[in-house]
Amino acid sequence: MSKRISISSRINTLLRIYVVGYPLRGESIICQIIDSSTSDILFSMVVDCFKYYNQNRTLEILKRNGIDQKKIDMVCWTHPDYDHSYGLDEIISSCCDQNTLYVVPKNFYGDKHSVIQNNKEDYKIVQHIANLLPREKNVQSGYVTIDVAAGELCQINHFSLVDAEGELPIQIVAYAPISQQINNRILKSQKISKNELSIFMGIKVGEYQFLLCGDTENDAIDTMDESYFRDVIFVKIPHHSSLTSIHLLTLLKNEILIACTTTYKIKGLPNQQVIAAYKNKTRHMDSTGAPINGEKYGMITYDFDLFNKKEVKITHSGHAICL
Amino acid sequence: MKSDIFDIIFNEEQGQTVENSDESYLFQLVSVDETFEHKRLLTSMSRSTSEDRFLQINELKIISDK
Repeated sequence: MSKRISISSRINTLLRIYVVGYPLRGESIICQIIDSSTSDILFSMVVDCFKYYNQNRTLEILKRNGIDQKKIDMVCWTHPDYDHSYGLDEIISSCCDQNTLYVVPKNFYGDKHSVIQNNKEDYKIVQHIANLLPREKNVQSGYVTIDVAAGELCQINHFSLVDAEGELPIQIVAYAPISQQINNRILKSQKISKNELSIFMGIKVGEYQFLLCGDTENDAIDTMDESYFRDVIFVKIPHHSSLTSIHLLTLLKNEILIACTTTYKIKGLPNQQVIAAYKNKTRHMDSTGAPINGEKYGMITYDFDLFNKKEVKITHSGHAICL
Repeated sequence: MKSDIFDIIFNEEQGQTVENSDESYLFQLVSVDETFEHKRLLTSMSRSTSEDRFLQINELKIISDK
């Protein structure tokens, strides 16, 4: 039986997505479902984290939104790369409680085959965060590990908003990491790259789907079934818009409303060829941008009013830009 | 609506083929992990038309500060 949350009316329901990036690298996303008539946060989720010169923008937003009153419902750590991990320990310590569901890739934590390529830079922070995660596997609280059979999906979480019109289902699903690819590496005693572990997530709200793609790359994307992506209106482009993730565009057959990218400056990302390809398929594109005037972050806030005004309000702050 | 089918599937048993009432989706449920409520779908077939999709996305307005 899925969780049911009573709401006054779905026309008061907003989906708010914050996409946060930093000058050199680093990515974090907050998703919230909000009752706009009361400003109550009905559901909140954090996907990855980073901080720059001790500025953890994700933590600041959560505190501003009253995290002391309501803790985060779900934390997804897409993969244990430094630019998706640094500062996540602060989120776990300050913004989570016993009801928070942690979602991590299989073969990363708590599994006997721990064969991930770690490097010196991120080893300590990854271990620190891993030690903060709860040890008990439980879908209601605790943590779940994610892997997906090629061409399939798995459900991570689901609940319903209930008003006089009936139930509005909210589904959170994963399309990656791909279990066969990881298992093949283990069988061959090969190390697993951290991007191979990345969780690729879809959030389904009524008729609309929002993709948060982590750092998933082409080998995993090539296994996915395009029929799952016909209702996509928003994409956080995988792997900071790299050529190694561009195959997602071949699965997105229809026009996308909004695409958004983050930056990884030392790797020259976002790649301009990838940006141009997405621009041909989207009505609006944003980037968290590169440093301007000493700004320490770039953030785009999307307010999706899907059931009343049928509009999306987009606000840029820091060094975020419209492409 | 596509989301409906996921609710239907969630309440079905392994091995069943599921079709929603307006015949717009057909799925086969192939594996169930009860511990994690983790259910996998082998096949999916969407019969929704591209015209429906076109209407859906075009009714959404974008209001951007930049």
